Amino acid sequence: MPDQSAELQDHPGNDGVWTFVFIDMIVFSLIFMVFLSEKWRLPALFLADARLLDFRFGLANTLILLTSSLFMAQGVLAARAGEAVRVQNQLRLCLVCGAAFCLSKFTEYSAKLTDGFSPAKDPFFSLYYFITGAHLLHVLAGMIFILHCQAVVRAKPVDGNYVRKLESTGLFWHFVDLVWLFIFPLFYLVGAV
Amino acid sequence: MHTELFKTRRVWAILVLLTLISVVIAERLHQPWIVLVSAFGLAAVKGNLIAIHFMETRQARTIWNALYRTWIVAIASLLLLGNLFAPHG
Repeated sequence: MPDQSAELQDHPGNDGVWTFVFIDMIVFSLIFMVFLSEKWRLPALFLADARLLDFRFGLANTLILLTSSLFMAQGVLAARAGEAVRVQNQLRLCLVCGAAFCLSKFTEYSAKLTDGFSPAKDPFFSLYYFITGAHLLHVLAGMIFILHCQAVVRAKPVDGNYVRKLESTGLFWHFVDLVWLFIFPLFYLVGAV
Repeated sequence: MHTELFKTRRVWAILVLLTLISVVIAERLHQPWIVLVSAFGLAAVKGNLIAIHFMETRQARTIWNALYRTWIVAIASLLLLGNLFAPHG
């Protein structure tokens, strides 16, 4: 039988996931730079368009993602304590938050599209849909990883390998939250000034 | 575990509070530089809290802790300066 404590005393997650997330960070950095260069090229348009976004959607999404991160962190703590039922509950709550985020985003997209603000309207809205859409895809991917962790914890007891898997999933999920922390002021708060 | 749970919930409460503060500042104060500095400054603080307490970068290899936390400061600075010095049209 593998020594579970020896597996757990090492670093959280695995190096592959830490590397993958860091590369994703670089990709988002480049996208943010494209946004800034377009803003410098068309400052009046970007300021006017940013005022068309409803910051309440941004605020709600921020609170939803922060709460989902809390549930994920609590899930990891429960996994380390070997409490499978608590892990399942926390992951379920995390998925509910993920679904709420997607619902809120689709509601926002649909309201904007109804008002005629499509990705083809101008560079601001192209980048708005591209950046928030790329982030939304990350949320959906994170939800698939969480569903997988949920299925595994139902099928077999929590062991060192499972803790490592959940830590890696949590790392990705917290990254999704982290990126949103910068998307929120960039689109929703800067528009208020 | 209870201590860890308490710490995690306290960090979440701080993150929510900082988010609300940044929204209130953006809504109430109309000096662009104050809004930008508070919005991206608080985003950097929140990002560091997430990295340290949720991603557990301090328990990860030193290189990841350094890279992730440098990225947070770098991206916050980039977005702050990029917006602060953007032409006003």
